Amino acid sequence: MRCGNVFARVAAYLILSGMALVFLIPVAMMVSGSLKPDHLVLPEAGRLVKLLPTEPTLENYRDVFARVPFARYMVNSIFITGTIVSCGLLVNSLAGYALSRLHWRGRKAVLTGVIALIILPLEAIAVPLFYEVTLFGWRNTYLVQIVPFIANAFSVYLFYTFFLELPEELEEAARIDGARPIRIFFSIVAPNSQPVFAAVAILTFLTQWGSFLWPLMVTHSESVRPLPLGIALFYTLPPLQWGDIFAFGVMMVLPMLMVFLLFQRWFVQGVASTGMKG
Amino acid sequence: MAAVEFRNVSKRFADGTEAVRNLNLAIHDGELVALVGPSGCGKSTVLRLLAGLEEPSAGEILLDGKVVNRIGPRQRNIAMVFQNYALYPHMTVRDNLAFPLRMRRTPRKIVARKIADIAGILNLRELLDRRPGQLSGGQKQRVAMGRALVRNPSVFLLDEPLSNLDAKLRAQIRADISSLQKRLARTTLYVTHDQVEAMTLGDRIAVMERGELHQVGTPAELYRRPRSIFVARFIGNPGMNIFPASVLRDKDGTWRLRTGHWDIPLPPEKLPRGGSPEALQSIRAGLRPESFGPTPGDGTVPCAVRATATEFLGHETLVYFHIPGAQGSTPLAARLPGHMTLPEPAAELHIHPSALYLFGGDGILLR
Amino acid sequence: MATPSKRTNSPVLDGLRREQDTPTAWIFALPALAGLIFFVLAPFLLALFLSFTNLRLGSPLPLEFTGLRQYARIFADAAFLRALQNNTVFALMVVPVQTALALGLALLINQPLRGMVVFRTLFFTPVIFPLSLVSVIWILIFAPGPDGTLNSLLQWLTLGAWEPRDFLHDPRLALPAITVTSIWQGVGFQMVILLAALQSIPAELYEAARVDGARKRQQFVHITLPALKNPLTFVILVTTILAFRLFDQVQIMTRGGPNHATTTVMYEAVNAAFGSQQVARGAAMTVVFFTIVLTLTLVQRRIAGQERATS
Repeated sequence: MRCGNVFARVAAYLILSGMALVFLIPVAMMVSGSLKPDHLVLPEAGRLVKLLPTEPTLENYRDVFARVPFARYMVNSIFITGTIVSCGLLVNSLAGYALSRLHWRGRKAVLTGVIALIILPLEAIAVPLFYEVTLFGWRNTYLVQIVPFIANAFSVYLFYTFFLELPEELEEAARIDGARPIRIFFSIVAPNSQPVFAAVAILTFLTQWGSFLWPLMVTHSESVRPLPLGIALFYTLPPLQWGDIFAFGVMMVLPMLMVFLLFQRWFVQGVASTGMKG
Repeated sequence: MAAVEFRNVSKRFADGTEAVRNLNLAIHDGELVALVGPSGCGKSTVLRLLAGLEEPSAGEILLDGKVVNRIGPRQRNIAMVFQNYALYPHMTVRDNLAFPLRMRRTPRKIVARKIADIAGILNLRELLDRRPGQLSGGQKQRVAMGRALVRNPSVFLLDEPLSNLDAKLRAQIRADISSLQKRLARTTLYVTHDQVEAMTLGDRIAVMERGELHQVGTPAELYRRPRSIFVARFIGNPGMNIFPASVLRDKDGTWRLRTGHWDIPLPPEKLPRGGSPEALQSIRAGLRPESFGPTPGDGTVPCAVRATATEFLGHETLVYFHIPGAQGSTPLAARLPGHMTLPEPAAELHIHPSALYLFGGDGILLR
Repeated sequence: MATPSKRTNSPVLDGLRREQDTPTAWIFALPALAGLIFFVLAPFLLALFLSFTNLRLGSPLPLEFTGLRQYARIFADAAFLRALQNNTVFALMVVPVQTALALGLALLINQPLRGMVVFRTLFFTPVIFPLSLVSVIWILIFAPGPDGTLNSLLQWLTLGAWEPRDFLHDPRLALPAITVTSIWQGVGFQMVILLAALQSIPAELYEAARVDGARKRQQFVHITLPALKNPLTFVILVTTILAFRLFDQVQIMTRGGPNHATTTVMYEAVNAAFGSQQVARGAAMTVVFFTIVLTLTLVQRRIAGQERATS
């Protein structure tokens, strides 16, 4: 390899750079569009040279706040996703621990059941779930967007397989030192299981932050709706102003982007772990 | 402080393997019993049974006369040092030492005092704020000991505590444990596969093989009167030489042991009691490597040897040899003082007949 | 000394441990179990049940068992059949293209060259974009008229020969447009999984193969591909299932149109249950959807199982 496929190396860089453009341009269009006056976005969409706005303006960002309750969407999204992620970590890790380490009557049956439920995506149950929460009178609340998604079979399974691989010695030492299972879990196991907690947190975050179908079905007031519904609604809100829409988009994705760039390693590991376990 | 007793204890795992078979063993108050045996002999399982990490399939385990079969590790007040130390990696040394005390709701002040005490005894003071990842193997070992000792356990369990250390450190910590044990006199079960550790540390030694206890006794007893070939080979370094031989009665009425060109008269105290003449035709004889001498002594018998290799160790020389005319391929070993070079492959070594051990076909000591 | 730590997981003879652990374990597992039972298992059973009824929200008619009538009706419904067809076509476009692209990118990035992490970050970035946002961005790219990004790009490439199209309102082009959008958003996810698999192949294997005189291509066929077999089947399965879950892009970009050209099973199910309150009808569609997912999963298991048996 060393003896010099300079040609191959240049080719690799060329292909990768070309692909990089395909991935970059739509993002750049969004950012640049958000800084242009509304009436220029569509006409300039076809000209790459216009990616750099001639007269950058923050007008669109002001418009977003004026036209839709952006802050409310953002707060809702953060609250809903944050609650699902944090409660989900607690609930699913405890179940995964019980399944992998405790000796109990019913363990095998529960494990089989959890694994069987993994193949049911939200879409497969959305309609009856919609009916169920209607019966509960939960529609148009935070509750309905949070509670059904805390327990997650795949998260339980990820925790289960991770704990299974953990050396048991530490837990045995803690048992001899006099700790009960609950203490062993929180003081010994959880602090030494950061990779799986990070992976589950990120996977949950990725699916929930973009959640669209379910909130569309069960909410109707802007006060409880999350960002993805916000942008879809904003897009249909006349007059169609592309600059505003892109300003919304930039603000919507910015927090995610920062979290992603900061914890990139964990994102990649978290996603990769689904492939290893699946 | 407590006494421990195993009564007819067996452990069978779910996959059907029987790790411990009908174990009877008592550990007296304040005594250190070294449990030795080769890998997979069940010695670690015995330790885990006593710790409460495993439950016996049959039999009873007693702590201070009370059956503890139905008591979990939490309530047994037993401390254990794991082979890999099992230090909590996310806690400082101080927190590691404090953990067992906190679990027993020890008041903060007392925790601090006990940690200070144990850190003094084990020389851990400078390490208290480090994490296990920043410690050397020997330091980790000391912290593990400290965590076990800090809460005054009634029984102290060590699972191959020196196996992850290099040879030099091992000797030093072995000496440390020995002096610590003399000072603290804890009831201790010490599991190891290394007979040197067992000999130097154990008040008594228990030898296990394939789930069964072969013999329990003081190091001297096990060395002098091994009950079986297994124990004879296991204790001593190198272990006892075992070779096939026959015992015959001469025309003049004296009993003699013969193998190859060796012909050794048996002293009266070595005569096998009973036993059919056929059985005596094929017995197994044992000689410790240190029973051989380079020169004749009082009452010794010369034995011809065909040396195959010598190893000079400084203070002594190990000579490996075959018995001329005897079948069998494994060479015997002799430990000779100083620097010996056998002048030629064929030479003579000298033994005292009283150093002989005779084992039956089943491997059990006859005399 | 081999510590039999694996064996401690055998709960056959540990009566005491079991007795002490059982209450704790149920407390640990209960919150998750309750959630899964209430919000996954119960709705699933409810879907089965409802699909055999005539339930319609707000309808004065009494709940009736109608047997397989809902199924008969949806399979006679041109829109639903079109949805099934669209999902299948979409899967047939997305799965090969996206998998090949993900594999190609993973192989390129896995080379020991500088700056590969930057490319990995770039290709993964769309994954963190919500589909709703991605859809809106791509609406502009597919905008009709010569000013639309894609139209003007194609015009430039063909030196003006390209006739501007309205991609999202063209019955032949709407679904491919959604396909491109989906691949752009999702390929990074697959790429990362395949990249992790590539990086878990021990370097010694390649060194050994080089010593044995294997060329690059032979190394790829005999080392890389076998190591990728399981992750690849997994990636293909997930992409196929995702293809059948298609909803967000359709809802935002085309609303199933034009003339059902982009409708999907989920779009029809949601519209039935939510749009026209026909919960039973939506439930029946849901059951059809689940049957497809289950079949795909079983096929993948079979393939992975065979592979395990032969290796």
